[in-house]
Amino acid sequence: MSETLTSLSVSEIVTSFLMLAGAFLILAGAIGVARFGDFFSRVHAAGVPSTVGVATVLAASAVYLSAHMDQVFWKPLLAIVGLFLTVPLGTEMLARAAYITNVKPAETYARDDAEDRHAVEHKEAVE
Amino acid sequence: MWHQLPIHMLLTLGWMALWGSQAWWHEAAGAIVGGAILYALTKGTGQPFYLKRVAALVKFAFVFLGELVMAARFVVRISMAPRPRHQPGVVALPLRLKTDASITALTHLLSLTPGAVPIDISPDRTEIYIHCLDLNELEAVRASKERFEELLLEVTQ
Repeated sequence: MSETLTSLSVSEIVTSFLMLAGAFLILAGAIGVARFGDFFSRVHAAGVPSTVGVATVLAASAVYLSAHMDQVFWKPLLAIVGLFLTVPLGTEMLARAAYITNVKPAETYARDDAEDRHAVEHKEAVE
Repeated sequence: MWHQLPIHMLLTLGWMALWGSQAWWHEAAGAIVGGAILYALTKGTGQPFYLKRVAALVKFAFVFLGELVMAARFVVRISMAPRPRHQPGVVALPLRLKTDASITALTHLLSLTPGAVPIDISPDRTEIYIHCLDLNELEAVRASKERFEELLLEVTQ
């Protein structure tokens, strides 16, 4: 057992750590999506892990491939940039569309500034 | 502002050509000498020095990474909690940024901060509406919004 542990190289340890961390994050996000009561909370649970978790797994693949090809392997980093540009936008647009089309939260908000000040006109426009 | 970058590269190349070498230490020395010359010139003409902007960008990247780690921890904590007792709500926060690009950047960054998803901008662009997963963490959301806004103001103006 200790033999297999000591035969791991540094790059393999880093790769394993990143893979496990990313997978754990995605799992946590999935549990959150399954457990939370309403749409807006689910958007919170889906947005962050699907960027940070997937980016971590991609970083693991970059480390692994760089170590095994004896050159820096940039392509996963390109994918990470694409991920960070697109997923937050999707999150925002989903939340905005849901709010404007009056998707109901599980319980009424303790505080809702947009209701008073602005989004009312949007909601009327939709109906 | 950004036209200083090709000038810096030209100065570096000039230094390397004078030494007749492509070694990395000559490149580094050329970059330092070129930067010093550029800095002196910007002092003389009163233009802002572009490397300050670059330094702001690097600082920005580190703050962003820290914020991502916090966001990941927050999601794990709240979705694994035995009895989720969060109290969602929508808050309006003041918006100081003016340009389209910087507001877009701010909303992108905010949707990656713990417990906050921006929903909308008020028509006169003075407020940003944010859905908070937990109103008890409102101060943290406000603090990270202020920090990002500060950094974006530094980078874009």
